[in-house]
Amino acid sequence: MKRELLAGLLLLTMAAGLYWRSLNTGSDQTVLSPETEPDFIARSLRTRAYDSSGRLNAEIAADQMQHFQDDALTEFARPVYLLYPEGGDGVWKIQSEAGQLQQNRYLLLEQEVVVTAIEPGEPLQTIHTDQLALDLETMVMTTESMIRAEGNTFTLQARGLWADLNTNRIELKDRVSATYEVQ
Amino acid sequence: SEADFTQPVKVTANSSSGDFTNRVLEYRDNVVIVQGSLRIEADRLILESSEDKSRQVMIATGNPATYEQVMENGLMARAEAREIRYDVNTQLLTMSGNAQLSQADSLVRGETISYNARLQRLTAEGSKDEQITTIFMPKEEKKVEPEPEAPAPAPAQEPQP
Repeated sequence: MKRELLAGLLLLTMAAGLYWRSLNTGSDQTVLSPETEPDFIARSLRTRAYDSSGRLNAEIAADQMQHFQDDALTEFARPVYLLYPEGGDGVWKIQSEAGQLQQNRYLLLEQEVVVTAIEPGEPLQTIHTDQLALDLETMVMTTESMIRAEGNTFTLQARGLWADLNTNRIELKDRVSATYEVQ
Repeated sequence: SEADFTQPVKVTANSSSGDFTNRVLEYRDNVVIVQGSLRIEADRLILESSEDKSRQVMIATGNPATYEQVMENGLMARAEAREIRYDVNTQLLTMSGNAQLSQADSLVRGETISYNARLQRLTAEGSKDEQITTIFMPKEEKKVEPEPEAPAPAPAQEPQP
């Protein structure tokens, strides 16, 4: 009888231990329910995107990427986008700390977003902001946040931006302040 | 004054738009341009430039657009017009539409006034309805108070025999 009792106690203790461990591990790792679990994760990713006519329109690099098939959503850590607008002859690099791509078209970049013109001749060289939305099909980018832009001979600040990289046109929505250096 | 044109140009406005392909930049609403002592206020400012910089023009419009700047002589010049156009390369300032330019008490008014900063030449044109008006106030001559005449010296006395 004593042996059965002992075995039972042993089992009980093991079960309690297992239950205790699951409680602990649960706290530091968010236990992803099946829906939020990415379908795949890629690290040090490099990928190329082509438009419907087969023309290269973007190259993407990121420290990490998580893809959620059902939501048609991809999340990036430290993405770097190289954009080749169809209309414009310029090449643009856009990077940030975090990014999300919806339906393989709508890109939302956040935290230390920097847009850089790769072509030296572009009047507008860099734009800094903290959030930027970009439609990869129309190459139109927008933000409601403050922006700071630099060109060859000027710096400017404003709140709110609309820019079409294909037609090289830009709108600054509010509180525009520009300083031009005299050459 | 000449020193103004070496200073950076600061432009503020409510909103702005740029067409980099055609190299046209526009500022809208509460537009203020400051460069040293030069100050232009307008409703709208358009900057046009060619790739080789052979053409660089600023067009400020307003009701009116106003301009002020301290000239070489230290006096503030003021101007207003519906359009103030400045060609950076030719240094030609053209004001059209009820244009008026004043400095101290002198005033020029006409349909169009242009000032060539390089040649320091001012040209004013009237319109078919209105001639130009020019008021030049001569510099006030300092009235020189006649010196009180010194009393004539007494005639020398003949020695008495």
